[in-house]
Amino acid sequence: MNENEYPSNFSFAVWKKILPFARPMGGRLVLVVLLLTVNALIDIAYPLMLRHILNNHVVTGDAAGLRAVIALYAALVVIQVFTVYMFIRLALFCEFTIARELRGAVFKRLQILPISYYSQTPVGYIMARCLSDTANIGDRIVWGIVDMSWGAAYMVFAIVTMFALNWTLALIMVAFMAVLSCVTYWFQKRILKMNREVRKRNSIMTGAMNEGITAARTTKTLVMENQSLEEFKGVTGAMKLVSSRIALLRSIYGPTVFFAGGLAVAAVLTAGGMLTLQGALALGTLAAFISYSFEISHQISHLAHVLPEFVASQANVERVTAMLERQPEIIETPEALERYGGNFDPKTENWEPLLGDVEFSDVTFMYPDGTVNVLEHFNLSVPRGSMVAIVGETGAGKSTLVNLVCRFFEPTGGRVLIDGRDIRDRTQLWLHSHLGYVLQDPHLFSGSVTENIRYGRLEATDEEVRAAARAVGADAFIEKLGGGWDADVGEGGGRLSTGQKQLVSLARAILADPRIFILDEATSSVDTEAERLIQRAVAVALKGRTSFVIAHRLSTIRAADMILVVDQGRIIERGSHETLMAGRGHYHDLYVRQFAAAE
Amino acid sequence: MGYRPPESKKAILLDALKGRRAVYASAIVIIFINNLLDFVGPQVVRFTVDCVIGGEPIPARLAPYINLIGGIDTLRGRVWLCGAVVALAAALCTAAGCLRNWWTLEPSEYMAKNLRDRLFGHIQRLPFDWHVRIQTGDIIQRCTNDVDMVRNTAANVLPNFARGVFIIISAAALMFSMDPVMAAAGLCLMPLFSITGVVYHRVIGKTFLAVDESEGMLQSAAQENLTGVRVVRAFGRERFEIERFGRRNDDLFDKLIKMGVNLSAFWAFSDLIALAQTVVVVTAGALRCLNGQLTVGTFMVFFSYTMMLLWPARETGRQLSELAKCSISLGRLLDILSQQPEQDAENPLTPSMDAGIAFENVTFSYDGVTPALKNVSFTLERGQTLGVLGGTGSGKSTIAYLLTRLYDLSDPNEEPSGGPVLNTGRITIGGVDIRRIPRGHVRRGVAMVLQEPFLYSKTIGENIRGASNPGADLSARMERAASVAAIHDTVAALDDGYDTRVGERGVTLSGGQKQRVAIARMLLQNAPVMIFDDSLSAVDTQTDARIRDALAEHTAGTTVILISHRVGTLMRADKILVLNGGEVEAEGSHAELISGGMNTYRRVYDLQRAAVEEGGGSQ
Repeated sequence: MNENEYPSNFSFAVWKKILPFARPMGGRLVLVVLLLTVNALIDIAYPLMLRHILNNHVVTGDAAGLRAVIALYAALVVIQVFTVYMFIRLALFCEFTIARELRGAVFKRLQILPISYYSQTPVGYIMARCLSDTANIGDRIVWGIVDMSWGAAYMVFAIVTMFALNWTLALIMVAFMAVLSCVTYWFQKRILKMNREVRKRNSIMTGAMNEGITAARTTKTLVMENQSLEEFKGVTGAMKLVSSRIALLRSIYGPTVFFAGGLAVAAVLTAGGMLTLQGALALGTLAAFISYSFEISHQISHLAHVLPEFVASQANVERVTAMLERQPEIIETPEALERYGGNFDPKTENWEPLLGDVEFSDVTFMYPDGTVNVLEHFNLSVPRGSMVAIVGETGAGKSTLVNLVCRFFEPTGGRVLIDGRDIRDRTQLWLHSHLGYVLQDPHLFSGSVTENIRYGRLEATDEEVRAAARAVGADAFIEKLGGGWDADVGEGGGRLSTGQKQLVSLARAILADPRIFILDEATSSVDTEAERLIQRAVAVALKGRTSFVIAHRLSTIRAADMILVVDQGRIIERGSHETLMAGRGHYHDLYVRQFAAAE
Repeated sequence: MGYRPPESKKAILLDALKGRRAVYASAIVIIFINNLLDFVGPQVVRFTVDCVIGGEPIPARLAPYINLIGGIDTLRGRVWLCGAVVALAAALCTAAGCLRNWWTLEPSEYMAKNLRDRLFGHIQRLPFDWHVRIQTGDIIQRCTNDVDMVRNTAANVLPNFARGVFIIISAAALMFSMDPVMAAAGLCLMPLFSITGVVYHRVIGKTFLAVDESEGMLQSAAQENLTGVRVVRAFGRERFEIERFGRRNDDLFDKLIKMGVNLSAFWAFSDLIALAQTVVVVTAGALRCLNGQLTVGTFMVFFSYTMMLLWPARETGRQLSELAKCSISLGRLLDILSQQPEQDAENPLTPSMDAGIAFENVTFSYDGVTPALKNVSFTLERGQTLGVLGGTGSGKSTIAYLLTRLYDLSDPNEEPSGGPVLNTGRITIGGVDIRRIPRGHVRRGVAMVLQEPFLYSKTIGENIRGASNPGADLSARMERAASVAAIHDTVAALDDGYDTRVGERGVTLSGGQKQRVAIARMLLQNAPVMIFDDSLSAVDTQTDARIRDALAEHTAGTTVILISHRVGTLMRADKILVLNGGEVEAEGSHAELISGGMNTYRRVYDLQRAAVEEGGGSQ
């Protein structure tokens, strides 16, 4: 998961995977290459035009036909400008299209990757794959083709032309090109290597800056301002060291290429000058050679810069294709897909209603990244309309059952049955369409309150949305918001308080009118008054539905038909409140400790 | 005395360049020299073509030198001498180029480092209030992207711009001195570049903005989808999300294409001007040569100079737009650096903090309009425990913020600036007004855990030990503190124990676990006064109770302030303050408060107890 990994060698196999995204652009890209070839040819032609003017008109003093030559020159200019306009436009179109298609594909894949993927991968990492890597790939593929095809075309044409004009001078130029390529290779290899180091240091530095600002309030209370500045100076110092080293290399590299160009001109001037004096070379030809030698040294250093960048972008391709090839862990059976349709083409006409009987039959389960079974031969029958409370300490593993009922994970052994049929007989979409889910830290999407509630049932009318809000008692605060029902909740719901977000997410769940309700109760992060409001809303939401509640509130626990006590990932006790209290076990302990303070 | 903010954008740059200013200035001189040397090559070519190869007379200025080596015939026999002069000029140019690069690149890195350090240090010292008000993302953006913008300007844009200006001016002067008519032909279209520059800045700048905006929308769509993945899945909204993302993806594409069309037109137009300029030079040159007004060599020189001029001229428009962007970046940095950091009194006192605390008629408002605390007074003896109960917005955290000097009351010696005075009263520790005590001293004496504490991306052990004095038994003390905070067992169960890293690349701790690590960190500080500001809000009640029991033992002899809305958390305090709307509604011990008739404390107590009795009733 290192952002700075770089491939060392070009691998065709890696690039081949991205081909399907580039192929639709194939015709346009061929056209781009053709335009560039014409463009390069015209660039070759200019010195020849100059040569012609010098040799046939200026030196001889013959004005006849000069007008036609100038007109041709101007025509070439117009054609070249046209190719420039067309190839940039086409290339950008290809670049943006490839990036768009890749982004869409990555996002689509993300929607079917398992939940476990999200708990193991930082959001920032996924975002970088989805947005910047895809843009980078589009950019590198297209502009790599542009730079390389133009450079190659120019060099080939230039060499052919030079040999046609004068092979002695051409040989000098080829020798010079060889030397310059070696020098460039030497420098670029080192610059590239150091660049990796600079990027690594830079991302460390950005991270430290980020942390320094986010942590500033805590740093203040700990009186660690100076200490944290000293640590930061260490980071920027290391960054300065490597970036100065690369600056030194760059300082020498650019002028060295220039020097090589100067030497080429000197060599051509000497050899060409002697030939001209002997009458073996026309003056215009000498001028053309001088032009070529300048442009070729420029092209070599440009290609030296482009090629490694192209190879380096292989890392982006590898990361994106790895994501696209990643398989979801939960796969629908062919029969279920056939009957109920996939996530993106549901056959709702075949869907049975969900009644709400849930049964765990001999379930054994281990998390994909775990080493022990957290459930072993677990059996539990939850008849429709009943409520299961799951209690235990923080981090005890209370989410496991919920993860299985939601089919975020599948049991490693045994079966989960919904209405008497294996959960795998039907599709996730069928299940999720009948499920209500409220998180302890409720997640809202930016947009209006109404839009957020409507997320529960997309086709609900405004009136239905309001009714759902009224049912959980959220209407009172919503109507007081500036903007009322259309009030923007901000990114992640940031403009609402935690209690308000919980009410909205309850209304959202109710609107879906689910048969199975999952509630991850909040610990006391809101004050007592707000808590009462939420408690009442929860009671409304759960009524008449099968529910699984990760519970912290005594009132919820007491209302449950079945209480499961979880400790260190395992279910150690189960039963009603009364039987568990009478058993004087772990639950009794918990209960006494939790409320002893108020005795 | 006090902090003097930088006066201008320029001052920021000059300050950060301190120690490298002379070097950077020399680089500009070198650029000028370098650029003069650039003109030598074509002149040698001209001389070779006209005088050595052709039969033109030797220019009078050069004649003595040519005669020194034996006249023009010597050169005709040894054309390599001309080549050697070109090579020598190229060598000098190269040396100058190396110096120029090194003297601009290294000082730019140096400047960026200083700028980053300055910003970082400054931000650490800015008041708490500033940190509450800012958008963290925006500030981070400034400290990274804007600094990089400034660095790039100093390293590349400015030197290239200077080079461009030098070349244009000196080439124009040189060309006019050689042949005014040809100079006019070589320069006539250049002014058009300034028009393209303006167009670039105006039109393309606008499409760039539209792209940025659309990109931001796409980014937040992705971000929300990813952080809300469980909600998306549980509602089966994958298709809806893909469509929503698809719409924004298409929108970004449209904006990019619009920008692309503009860009290709811009580049094509720039090329058109540049190439048309060469057509003009070639035509004029050929005609003048035919008329005998120009030598072949001079024609070639003009062609070379025009080519040399075209690239920098073409770039100036874009560079000006870059310089404008850099100025905006500097403005954003100036914004941060102009903020006043926290400052301590001139004659500070550093009394022992292990002493009694008193609030005397404290009224405080964050915004100068609505008071958060109204006329609050209380005293707390050394070693006592104070409980503060109140709902959201009752002002209970404000007490903690004032006592740690994260916010200050106004200085009584300063004239109030009209209007109602909302920051009045006095807070003392051991009888000393805390405004006289340096903030660092206050905060070392009064330790506190924020409601949302931050853990550094270091190991858990480093986090807990970070703020404490080193000592031989530090790790034993750390484990003891962690046990009290009920986090030791959790940490010990991790593969690397206390050496486990926290954060993106390490283990992710739950909100409750973070709070407990922060509590351990505070306990290890061993401060005489400790504040728990709802520090256990993300911990379940069982663990909360366990921690409080252990704390009671550990903090014996320490002055403790407990802030909570759970009666259970506070009831054992020596004194409980009930806050309502910023005012002290009641004060007393638990026993006094519940027997004192109907008050907020009693109401909350009944509410919270009702749940318990209802639960316990079956036993």
